[in-house]
Amino acid sequence: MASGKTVAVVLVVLAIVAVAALAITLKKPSKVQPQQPIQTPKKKVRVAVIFDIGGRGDLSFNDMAWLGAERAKKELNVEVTYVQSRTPADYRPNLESLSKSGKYDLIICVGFLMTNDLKKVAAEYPNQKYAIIDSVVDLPNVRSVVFKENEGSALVGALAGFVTKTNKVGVVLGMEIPVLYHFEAGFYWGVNYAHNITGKDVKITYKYTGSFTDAALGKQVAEGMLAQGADVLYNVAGLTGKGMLDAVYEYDKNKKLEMGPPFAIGVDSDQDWIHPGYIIASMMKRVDNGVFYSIRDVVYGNFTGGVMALGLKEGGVKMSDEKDLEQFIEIAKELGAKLPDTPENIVKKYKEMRASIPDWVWKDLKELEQKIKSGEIKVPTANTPEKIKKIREKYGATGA
Amino acid sequence: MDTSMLFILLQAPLYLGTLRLMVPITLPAIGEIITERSGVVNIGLEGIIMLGALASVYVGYFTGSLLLALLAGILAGVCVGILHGIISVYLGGDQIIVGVGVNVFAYGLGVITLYLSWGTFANSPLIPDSARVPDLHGISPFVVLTFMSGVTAWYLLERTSIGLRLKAVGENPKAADAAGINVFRTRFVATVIGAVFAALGGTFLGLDWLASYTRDISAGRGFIALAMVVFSKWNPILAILSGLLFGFFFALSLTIPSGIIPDQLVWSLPYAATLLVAAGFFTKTRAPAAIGKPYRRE
Repeated sequence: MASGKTVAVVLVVLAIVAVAALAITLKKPSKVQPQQPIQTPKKKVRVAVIFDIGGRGDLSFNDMAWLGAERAKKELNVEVTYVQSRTPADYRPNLESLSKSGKYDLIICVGFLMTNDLKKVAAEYPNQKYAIIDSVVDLPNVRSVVFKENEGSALVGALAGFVTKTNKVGVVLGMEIPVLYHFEAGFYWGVNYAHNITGKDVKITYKYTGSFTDAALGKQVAEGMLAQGADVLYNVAGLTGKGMLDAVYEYDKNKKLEMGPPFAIGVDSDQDWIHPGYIIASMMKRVDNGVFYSIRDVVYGNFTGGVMALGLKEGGVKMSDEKDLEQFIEIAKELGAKLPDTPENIVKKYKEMRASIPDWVWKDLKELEQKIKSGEIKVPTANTPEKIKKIREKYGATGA
Repeated sequence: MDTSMLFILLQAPLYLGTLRLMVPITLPAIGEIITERSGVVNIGLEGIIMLGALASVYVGYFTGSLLLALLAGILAGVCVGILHGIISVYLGGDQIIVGVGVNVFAYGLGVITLYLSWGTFANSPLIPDSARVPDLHGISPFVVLTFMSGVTAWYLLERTSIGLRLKAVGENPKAADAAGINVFRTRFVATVIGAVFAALGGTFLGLDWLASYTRDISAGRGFIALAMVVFSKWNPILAILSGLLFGFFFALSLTIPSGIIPDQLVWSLPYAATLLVAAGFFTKTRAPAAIGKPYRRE
């Protein structure tokens, strides 16, 4: 019986840690903007990147972070090294030994799971500069890089509103934590934006699955939505959403459709290559830019602590395009990941899919992007259950 | 709202979902009932589900053969069963520790295999269609297998001399030994059979439901199965019923869209319903007397 308890305790602790860590990504107002270079660098800057568990090969956060570091190496002539973390227990010693060595001008922590360890270590080494991705550590020597997911979600939401033929779209979500409200708010706003242009009344169904790792649940929920006629589904559920992507793909294939609709929309990294022709776009979080900007600010002496919130304008989020697709095919190839088809065929199918959508849709989305970038349009967001409830009501995301 | 709830109750995915959600928890639970009735506890179900899924997806992906993939899944169960059996039955080791070890090992092996075979830590690609379990009129053969396994296991346990001997070993191994029953061999075989059922649950996830391997594919289903063993009073027929009950409310919780009823309430439905039923009908639960105790001849 003791073992049952132990297991339960371990599970509860893990759940609490996950929720707490994710909750920490709850953002404060932006304080820092990435600085354009004004001076020339003086000495060779050294940067260390600490990967999250998973490390290189996750085809998502960690690989994108490394992409940013490699770009800095090429363009800014800095030295970059990385450290893997096999378990969360490695974060602290990794941070300590890198900080103690004093060799690095900047230490970058990839992922919110390192938040607590960084808080402690960064306080111990006030002269060491740090950056953390997707989380906020409120210390003067830590740059916190976060993303405006609502802006990117607005674009894919508008896209969903434009391309739906059944006038039903769905959102498959992971655990209910504030950071997912950003995705929700932006997406609903975007669907409504499309409604204002096309006049179509689009019904939005959303579903929290309570998990970021159970692909089986994502598949079950997505199949339910498809059966009820939804023809664009948005993945906001990490690995759970992989099941959603597969569900859309299999649904289309069983109906002998060469491409969607029904379409899926990917998240975080460019997921368009996973099922070419069926994933219309991805809401990308450009971790690479967050890393690159942080390094650049150190190189040019512009580094300060505080929150750097990256939206569309700053290149922190974006709707995926062909260039992203090609880049991700490259990353996948480099890592030995299995592609569903030859790179040429993937790009060809992708182009056919995009060409099947009327030109005015892409044009309008470009315009919308520009307007959000220029500040002419402000996309709403939410950080609390009360706020997101109001936004859901306003844009007709009723659930049923 | 009333009409929308009615609408949900009339949806086919709800009932297909019930069956689908039932299989990967009920198969391991049936296996564990057999194991526990012989006096051995295997809390490594979670890990065995993963290993069954991993082995079957790996072989299915690279050979494209459903038969080989199924055999690989079963073989994974046999291997863990033998390991667990040797340590906990013949060497008299701590059964809980073996189970925990299997869980930790399986997760790690899954991640390493994903990376070495498919270059990512997240999930494998989909297996070829030829390696997928075909539907029988929209229902997976695994559903049929689950029902048949439950009934067969019940018959074996309650109506045959083999079952009588197995239960004797689990209740009073000393007396069973004196009566000429080979306690070690009985427990060993029961452990291997239990592990194979758990692996089959994983094989269903890998070759049928997901058609791929995902990191953490079992997602706690092994622990739910362990709880079901107790709810079902170590009775395979009741295991099927509680599997159906749990599966139905789980499917319902996934079918009700967010925003109608608070999600936290919806998610607790399967657990609350199972608890209520267990408290109301499945009274007087008693575990096999010699459960978890290694047998040593004096």
